[in-house]
Amino acid sequence: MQYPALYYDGRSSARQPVQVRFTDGPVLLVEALGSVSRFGLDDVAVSPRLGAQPAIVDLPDGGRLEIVEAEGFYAELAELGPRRQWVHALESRWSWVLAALLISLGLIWLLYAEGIPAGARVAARAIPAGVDRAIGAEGLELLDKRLFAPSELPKQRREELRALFTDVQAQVGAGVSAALVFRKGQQLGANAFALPSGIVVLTDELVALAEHDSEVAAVLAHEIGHVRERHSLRSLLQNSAVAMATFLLTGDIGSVATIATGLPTLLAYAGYSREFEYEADAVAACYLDEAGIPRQRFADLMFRLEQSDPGNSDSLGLLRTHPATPKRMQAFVGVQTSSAEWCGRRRW
Amino acid sequence: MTDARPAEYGATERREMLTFVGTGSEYFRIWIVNLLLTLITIGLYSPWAKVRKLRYIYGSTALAGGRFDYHADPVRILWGRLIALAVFGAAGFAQAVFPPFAPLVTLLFLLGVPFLVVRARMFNMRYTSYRNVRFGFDRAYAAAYSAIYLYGFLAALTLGLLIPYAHYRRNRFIVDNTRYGTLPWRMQEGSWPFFFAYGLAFLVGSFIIFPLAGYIGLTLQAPAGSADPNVRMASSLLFAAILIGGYIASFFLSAAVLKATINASGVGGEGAARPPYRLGCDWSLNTVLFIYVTNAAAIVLSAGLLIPWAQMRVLRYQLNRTWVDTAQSLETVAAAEAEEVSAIGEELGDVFDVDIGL
Repeated sequence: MQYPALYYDGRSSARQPVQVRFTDGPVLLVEALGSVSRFGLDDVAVSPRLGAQPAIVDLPDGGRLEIVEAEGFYAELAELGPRRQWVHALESRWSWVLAALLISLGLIWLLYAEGIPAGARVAARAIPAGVDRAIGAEGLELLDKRLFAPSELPKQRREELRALFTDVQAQVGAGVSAALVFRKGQQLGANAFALPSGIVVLTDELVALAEHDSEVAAVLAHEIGHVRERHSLRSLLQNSAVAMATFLLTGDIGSVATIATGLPTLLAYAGYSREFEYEADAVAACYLDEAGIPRQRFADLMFRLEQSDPGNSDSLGLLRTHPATPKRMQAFVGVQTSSAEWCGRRRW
Repeated sequence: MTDARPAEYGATERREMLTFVGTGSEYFRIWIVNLLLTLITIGLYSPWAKVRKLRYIYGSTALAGGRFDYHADPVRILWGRLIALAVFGAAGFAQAVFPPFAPLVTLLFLLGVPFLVVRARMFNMRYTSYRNVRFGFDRAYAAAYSAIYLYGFLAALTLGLLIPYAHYRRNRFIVDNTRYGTLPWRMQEGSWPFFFAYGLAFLVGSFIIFPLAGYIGLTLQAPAGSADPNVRMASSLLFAAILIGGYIASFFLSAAVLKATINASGVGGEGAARPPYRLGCDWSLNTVLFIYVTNAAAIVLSAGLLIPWAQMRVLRYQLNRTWVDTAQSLETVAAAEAEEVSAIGEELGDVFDVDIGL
């Protein structure tokens, strides 16, 4: 079979029509007007088949051939040696493309939902605890400047709560370096959170909202849970991994698709954040069971918290960093502490 | 038997149109298979995916019967990518773990940007060809620093009034340092088309933001500063309006600036003489805007599945309305000596999103 082709010598943009065919050897024969050149098939580079595009053959002297009738050329080439064009084969059948799509979606889900969190856990184990404290070491100073006012709790009340914190810490996170500080939450309202450095901030407003000290204890257990399970570090690792994976998967899509990659990234971050809340809740459930306090205490406080600040329950849905309270409390009540997964101390 | 014609003096001027024949259906299949192979190789296939994708796009673009092609070696890209990801990870981690060093990391990064831009351009041009003659980009590091920072500084000094001028200098830097074979590219002097483009984009943004903001303000007449959830809602809606308006205006701006740049660019010749090959395009900015906005909507509604279709649609519209005017033959351009270029700069540029193409 003869294939009409265009020959570009690589030294200028001129082109020359030629005829190409295979002969025994196997050899590629290029016939121009008045001349014939022979190239061993092992010396030329045939580009992989791509859509309906012409076949490109790079010759050893820097020249290249463009063979428009690619189909016949590739077919004949395939008979001469084992040159599988399997990527093209995958691309040319819609049924396989559909299968590839479904498998890809499954793999992406697996990667983001299981792979990255598991990888972060393994990586966190290898990272010394000092690193957690270094992440956002200035966190509290910054918050003091922007959000908080000094606590107005009486000294005696603070002492009581400190003693409570020590108790909770001994039970939940012995060996975890955590410290309790009091602040007035101001526009932040009733709240409690753990900073990466292990500092647990409790606002006056939350203390006022609690009807029993055991409710505060449950919250403290939850926050120490964040510290013990190294959520700051793991969240940093996971979010970086998401950024990298998204780059590799979508790479150079360009500006048209920034929304398309930005939104899933945010969804992943928020999903991980909610997962960490469930983990910390499980730690709190463990604490309450062991201390013989009904779990309802934590749930009571959470529902009261939600009522006190309706703005917190607006429907961001999948972008929320915390699960919706009813769903979260349902999961909380259902935590199986007998399996002791969350009750054992994790000392990484 | 070549179809070369001598470049006689006074030969008639012709217009060679670019043609783009890529289709959404073909590209979609390439894209999905790329995605699958990248996933099952935990990312190692991604350089091959990139090359295959660019070869499809370049190979679907033709001018006067000749095609463009992309020749980068995936193995080189893989190395570049691994190094870039390591640097990216280290920089990110350093910033998170040692906050005092964060400004230092940022400073290093900013100092590196012009260098990365040049390296990325060199890599991309070196491995792009038309009629088997490679493009090229000069090692213009000093020019890159002044194009990006000197004029950027000037723009800041004038409180942003000279941003269009800075953009013009930046694009001129890119065009003037590009080569096709032995022929230099050149961009005409004159920055007013850039001022015009910015002015139009500003109007487009205002037309979207102000009516939306006004509507939101009217429907939710609440006293300012109250903690009413309605007010919170209104302020987040306003934020969304500004975001969407800004987004659309930036689409418009990039198309308008690209159009101005293409219409001012030519290839070959010297000094003030008219270049023998002149680029041009006549795409309608309204149509481009319409395509961008409907593309964004299609991408979001299809959860990203229509990305390949959207990309082909933009390329088809813009490339099919772009041309080269010349009285000379396209057959006579000589190739230049070229050395290999590493992919590290290009990949670092990609990872850190240092994208200052045209």
